[in-house]
Amino acid sequence: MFTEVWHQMRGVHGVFLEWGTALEWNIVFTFVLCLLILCCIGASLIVYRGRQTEGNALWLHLLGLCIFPLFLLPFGNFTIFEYSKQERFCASCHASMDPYVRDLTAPDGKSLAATHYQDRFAPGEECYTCHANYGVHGTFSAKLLGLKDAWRELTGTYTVPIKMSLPFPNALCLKCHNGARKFMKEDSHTDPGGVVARDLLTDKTLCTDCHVPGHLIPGRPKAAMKAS
Amino acid sequence: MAPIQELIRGDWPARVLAAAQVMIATVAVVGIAAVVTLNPYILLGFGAAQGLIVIGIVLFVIVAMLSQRAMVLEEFSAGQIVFRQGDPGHHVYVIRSGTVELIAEKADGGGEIIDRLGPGDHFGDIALLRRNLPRQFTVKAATQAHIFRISPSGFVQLYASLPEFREYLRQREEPHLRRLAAVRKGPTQPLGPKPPK
Ligand code: HEC
Ligand code: HEC
Ligand code: HEC
Ligand code: HEC
Repeated sequence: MFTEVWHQMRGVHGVFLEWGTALEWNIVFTFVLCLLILCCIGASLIVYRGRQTEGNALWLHLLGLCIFPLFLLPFGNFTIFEYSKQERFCASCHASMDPYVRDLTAPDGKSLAATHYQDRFAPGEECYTCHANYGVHGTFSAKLLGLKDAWRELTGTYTVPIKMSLPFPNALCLKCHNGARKFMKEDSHTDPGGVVARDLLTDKTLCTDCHVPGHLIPGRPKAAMKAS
Repeated sequence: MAPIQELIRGDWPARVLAAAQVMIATVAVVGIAAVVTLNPYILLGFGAAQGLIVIGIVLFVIVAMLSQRAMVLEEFSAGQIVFRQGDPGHHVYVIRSGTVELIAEKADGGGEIIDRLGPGDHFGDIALLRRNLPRQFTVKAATQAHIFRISPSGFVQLYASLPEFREYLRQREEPHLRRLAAVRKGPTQPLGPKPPK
C-alpha cells in the first residue's frame, strides 16, 4: 500500500522519474508552510491567551500571520498550477476523463494521443502539453470552462460523448511541429515556397482532417469525433 | 450604528486578529488537505482560498500598527458596559470624565456595586498584574464617560520603572479585592472566573 503510493508519487505508468522535480519540492514546501502556520497560530493561542495583541505575541504573529503566509502564496500557487498540468490530475476525474487516459496510455493505441505518448514527448504532462488552452492555464474563458467541467463532473451532468466547445486549434500542434524537419518535408503541409500552409495556420484545415483523431474512444462513433 | 460602535470599542484589535487567524488557519488546513489528497476539488478550493491569505495578512498589519498606540480615548454613554466579569483582557483604563460602577456579579445572576470611580481613577489593572486572571468584576458607565484605554505594554513599562507607582496600585487594589471576597464569601485568593449562571 505504502510502496504503491510512493510509486504513484514518483513515476507515471512505468516511466520512472527521479524524485525532486520542482512540483514535488513545492508540494513539500506547501505542506511544511501550512504546518508551520498552524503551529504558530496554535502556539500563540496557548502561550498568549487573552493578550494576543501585546508585546512578544506580535512577533509570533509576524511569523504565523505574515511571513509564512507570504511564502505560502507563491509556493501554493505554483503547486496548484504545476499539478494541474499533470496527467494524474486530469485522471483524477475518473468518470469523465478515464477513457481518454486509457486511450492515451494504451500500448497499442493508434490515436494521436497514444502515438505521442509512445514517443514519450512530455512524460507526466501529456494531456496538458496538447491541451494547453484548457483549464486553469488558459485564458479567462478557458478557466471558466474548466470550472464548469469540474462542476459537471461533481454533479454528474456532463454528456457522453464529450464534445469540444471549440475545435482543437492547429496552433497547439504547430507549437511543436512547425519548422520540424519531418513536418516541413511533407508537401501537404506547406504552400509553394516551403512555408507552412496558410490554411493550416488559419485553422481552415485541421490536422485531424488528414491525421487520425486525437483520441479513439471505444464505443464512440467516428462522426462524433469529426463533429467536434 | 450602535452595533458598529460596540464592535470598534473595547479590545477590537484582538477580534480583528482572531479573524486573521481564522482565515489563515483555514487556508493552511485546506492547503494540507490539498497536497495530501491531491483531490482536484480541494486543490481548486485551495486556489480560491489564497485570497483569504491576502486579507488575513492585511488584517494582521492593521492590528500590528494599531497595537503600537499606547493610549486610546473611548466614549461610553450611561449604562454601557466597559468590560464584563470573566472576560479576558489586559488593558488598563483611566477615567477622564464621568463615573463608572464596579459590579461584582454573583452566582444567582444579581450584582453588587463594590465601588464607584470618577475622573483620575483607574481600573482593569488586576487582570494585567496578576497574570492570566480574567476580569474580576463588571465595569459599567454610570454617567456618560470618557475613558483612556492604555495598552498593557505601556502600563507595564510604568509599573516596572516606578516603585511608587507600584505601591500606589497595590494600595488601590486591596480594598477592591477585599470587597469582592466579601460579596462572594470566598477566600481572597485565588479569584476564579465568572461563576456559571
Ligand atoms: C474535475 C474533473 C475534471 C478534471 C480534473 C479534468 N476534466 Fe476535462 N472534463 C471534465 C468533464 C466533466 C468534461 C465534460 C464537460 C461537458 O461536456 O459538459 C470535460 C471536458 C474536457 C474537454 C472538452 C471540453 C470542451 O468543451 O472543449 C477537454 C479538452 C478536457 N476535458 C481536457 C482535460 C484535460 C487536458 C485535463 C487535465 C489538465 C482535464 N480535462 C481535467 C472533467 C474534468
Ligand atoms: C497528441 C495530442 C493530445 C494528447 C496527448 C491528448 N489529447 Fe485530448 N484531444 C486532442 C485533439 C487533437 C482533440 C480534438 C478532437 C479530435 O480531433 O479527436 C482532443 C480532444 C479531447 C477531448 C474532447 C472530446 C473529444 O474526444 O473530442 C477530451 C475530453 C480530451 N481530448 C481529453 C484528453 C485527456 C484527458 C488527455 C490525457 C489523458 C488528452 N486529451 C491527451 C489531442 C490530444
Ligand atoms: C509537445 C510537442 C508536441 C505537440 C503539442 C504535438 N506533437 Fe506531434 N509529435 C511530437 C513529437 C516529439 C513527435 C515524435 C517525433 C516525430 O515523429 O516528429 C510527434 C509525432 C507526431 C506525428 C507522427 C506520429 C507517428 O509516429 O506516427 C504526427 C502525425 C503528429 N505528431 C501530429 C500532431 C498533431 C496533429 C498534433 C496536435 C493535436 C501534435 N502532433 C501535437 C511533439 C508534439
Ligand atoms: C492535407 C492533409 C494533411 C494535413 C491537413 C496535415 N497533414 Fe500531416 N501529413 C500528411 C501526410 C499525407 C503525411 C505523410 C504520411 C504520413 O507519414 O502519415 C503527413 C505527415 C506528418 C508528420 C510526419 C509523420 C512522420 O512520422 O513522418 C507530422 C509530424 C505531421 N504530418 C503533422 C501534422 C500537423 C501538426 C498538422 C496540423 C498542423 C498536419 N500534419 C496536417 C497530411 C496532412
